[in-house]
Amino acid sequence: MQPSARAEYLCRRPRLGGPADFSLMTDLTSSLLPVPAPLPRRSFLRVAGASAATVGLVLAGCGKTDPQPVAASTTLSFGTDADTDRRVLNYLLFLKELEFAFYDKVIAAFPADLSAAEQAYFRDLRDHEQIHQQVLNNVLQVLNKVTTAPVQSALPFDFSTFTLTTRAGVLAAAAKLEDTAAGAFLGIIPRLLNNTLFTLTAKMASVEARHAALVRDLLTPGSFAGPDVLDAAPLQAGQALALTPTQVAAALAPFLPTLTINIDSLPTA
Amino acid sequence: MNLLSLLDKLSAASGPASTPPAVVAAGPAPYVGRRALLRTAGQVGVRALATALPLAAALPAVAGVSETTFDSLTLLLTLADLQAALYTRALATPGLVPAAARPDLARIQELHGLQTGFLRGTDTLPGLFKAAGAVAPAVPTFDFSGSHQGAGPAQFADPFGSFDDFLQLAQPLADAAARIYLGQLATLRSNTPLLEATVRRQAVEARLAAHLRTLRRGAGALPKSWPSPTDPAAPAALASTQAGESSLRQLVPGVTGLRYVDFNALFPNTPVQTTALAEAFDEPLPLEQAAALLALFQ
Repeated sequence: MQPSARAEYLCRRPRLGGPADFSLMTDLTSSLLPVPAPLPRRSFLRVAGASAATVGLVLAGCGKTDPQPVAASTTLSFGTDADTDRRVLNYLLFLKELEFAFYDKVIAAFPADLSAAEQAYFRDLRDHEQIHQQVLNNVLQVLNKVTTAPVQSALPFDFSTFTLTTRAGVLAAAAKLEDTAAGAFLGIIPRLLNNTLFTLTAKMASVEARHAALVRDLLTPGSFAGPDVLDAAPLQAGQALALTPTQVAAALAPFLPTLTINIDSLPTA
Repeated sequence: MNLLSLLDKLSAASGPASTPPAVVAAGPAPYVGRRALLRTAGQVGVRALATALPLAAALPAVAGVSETTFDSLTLLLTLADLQAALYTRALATPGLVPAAARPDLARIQELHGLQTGFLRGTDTLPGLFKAAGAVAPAVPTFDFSGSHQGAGPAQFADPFGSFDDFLQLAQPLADAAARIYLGQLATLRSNTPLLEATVRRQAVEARLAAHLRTLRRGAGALPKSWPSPTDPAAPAALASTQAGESSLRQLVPGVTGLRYVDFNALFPNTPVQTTALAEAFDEPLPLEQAAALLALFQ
């Protein structure tokens, strides 16, 4: 699909979290600065070849209703299912697909200075993300009463803003994604209505926190629970930082440059 | 909460002789079965807890607080006290902690102090218990040899004798802490601010546990930063910290009810490593095992 003028505008937006800057708080602060007005809603087209009941990640296609002169734009949303839990599952699934794609990419071409033990950790990290992804997929598949396995959505992730040719670059990238995913889980799973889903995703969130601690320690020993990933508010002292979907969308936008992440349908309370 | 007397009542077999706790008379019809035994004598009805949480100051009133919320928080406070005491004592033991690890342990100690402050109160904040009109239990005296202050044999090597021995206790305990928090989330489900605080605290415990595993890592790059079937066995007294972690199935909601996702069925051609299947999910530690573990040190 040709990037539209709007999509090009998105691509020209300053990237959050360049290779050497992985202070999450800085990134979050910068994302809270005045940002351009949100894109008008687009009409939606399904992913070609996928049924409506699969995974639920929806790409919006060519807009017809927007008055501004843009050729096309694309939006990633998490569905409008009456069951808000499924929207949350789609969101979590998106996070998992992002992380899996990242680790897959790293494993395909390890930097030369990543030790053998560290390479083994990265395989573990990828496997955990894949397991999480497949479990969430399976849950959605059954709930949506889809009998065939869903088409792998193959979102067009783009990790080119990361430096993945050095050990430090790979670890910094992993730390950013793991910290973001860990915060994203904390920010959304209390919104789940189903107790079993909550328990399941809380277990996943615990593993995400461990992932984050590991890669942070490998990068900077002792940074496992740094102030940038803990809540600074006095009443929340000693608690990990939870990220809202808005903050997560902003943090992850650079890795999905051709799509707009629309978090509007996620439950907020 | 006198955990020894609690366990005495919970188990069918006779345990250490103790006075059973008085059952609180206030409130609706008492829970039947074991839950009734988890009430603590002389405490204010916990429904007050909901309306007086410092976190809830700006939030609407929450419903559905149960008696067991109080017990859950008491458990978590004892756990936080235990870990705070362990790290305080370790840092105060001359020559125990290598210089490179001191800042890490100080950070961990600080974070446990923040949790005890959150629950019991600090100079500037009343703490969750006081804000609810309840009384936080006093800090227990802990015996980290597992001998119950000399009442029995030591259950494991003196954790303040060498750094390796310290880690041999601290690391499984940290894993257990993460699991205990996971285990209490279901109890706190009905109280949203408390649930959010606890799930965020659980994430911190998970990070701490991962770091202790990093500190403990040696030849063969074990243990990994997460509980794994590849883990060396914990000392026998700490077996509960590992029990139930290697699960190859997960309970999920289905169309008509709950069902299990079986990993062997989901990954028939094993594109993932077999060990990763059990590693991918941390498992909760239920209340009884958690209480028994904490009682080991009192």
